[in-house]
Amino acid sequence: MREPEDHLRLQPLEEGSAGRGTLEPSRVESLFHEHAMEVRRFVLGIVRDPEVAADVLQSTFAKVVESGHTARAETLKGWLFRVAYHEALTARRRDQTRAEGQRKLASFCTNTSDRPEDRLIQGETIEAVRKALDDLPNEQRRVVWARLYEDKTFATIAQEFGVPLGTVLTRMRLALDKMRRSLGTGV
Amino acid sequence: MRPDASSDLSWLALRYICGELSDAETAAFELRLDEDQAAREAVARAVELAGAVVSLPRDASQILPAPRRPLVATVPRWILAIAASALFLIALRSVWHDRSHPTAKPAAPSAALALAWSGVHEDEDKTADLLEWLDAAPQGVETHLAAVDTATVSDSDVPDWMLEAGSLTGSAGLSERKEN
Repeated sequence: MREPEDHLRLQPLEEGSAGRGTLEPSRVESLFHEHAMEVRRFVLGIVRDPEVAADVLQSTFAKVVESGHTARAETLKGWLFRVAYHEALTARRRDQTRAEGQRKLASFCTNTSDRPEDRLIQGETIEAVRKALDDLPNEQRRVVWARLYEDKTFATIAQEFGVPLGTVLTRMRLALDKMRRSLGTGV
Repeated sequence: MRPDASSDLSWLALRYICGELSDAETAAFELRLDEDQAAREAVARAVELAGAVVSLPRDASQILPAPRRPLVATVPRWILAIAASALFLIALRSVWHDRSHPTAKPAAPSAALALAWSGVHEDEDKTADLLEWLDAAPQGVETHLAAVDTATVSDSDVPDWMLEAGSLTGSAGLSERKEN
């Protein structure tokens, strides 16, 4: 899935080449509607900070406007994600106050906007996840809940439940596979 | 992508966003993210899944409280080992005591039982009233016990000590003791 380098190179705008060296606004808008939310989730997974993720998303689409025309249409999504990834790494390095990997899931995974179109997680996805969670065996559901909702580490869960760490990891993985199947390809 | 490879990637991505990968695993995964679009999308899906769970109300799922750890799991292993050893030693001592003191448990030799049983008949006069009362069916109470057909009782059903006692009762043995 590696994109050819020529599709990834971010070329500077040629002077006086507006319209020729940039992506068409309608195409940028279309890209935003199609992929912005997924890119935002991806970036959140890297930077783990909603505000930083919003900045990264903005700078990513600024790059799209500037250099999106250098990517082939069929690899545009991959190109977009890769630009976002590099922007996220840059932002993460810049953000020295953040304790890397230590942010709570609840602090960066929750919806931060009241506007439905800006919500990180759509209502139907939440409902589907709730149903999938209810379908899990108790021991798997408890592990999912403790890890994702209560943000306990797997080691802590193992200690609290009095089971080996491997058992907790197995339950979580089985639960993840079942939930993925229940939700189709959506999650 | 094979289904199991997709599962592996989802699992890796979830552990990544949860901060559950080691430094080496994190570095390797971030190198992969630089070139693998499937890995990037897996991270996005993991955030979506985690976000959906985090967004649920507290009572959304029928989450049961964490199971109480069984007593065996909470007691230190050294205490369990000592308790098991103590039980074993007690059992061993009991067996050893039985073997070294065989008379401790009362034996029931046929001759001794026969003598005791025959002695009952010596006090027939004293116990006649009691035996008569025992044999009589209680008034107003129906008995459900079937009458024993003596013809169906074989000798093998009667213990040796009882047969011997019977022979003593009607033999010279009893007479001798009466004379004594």
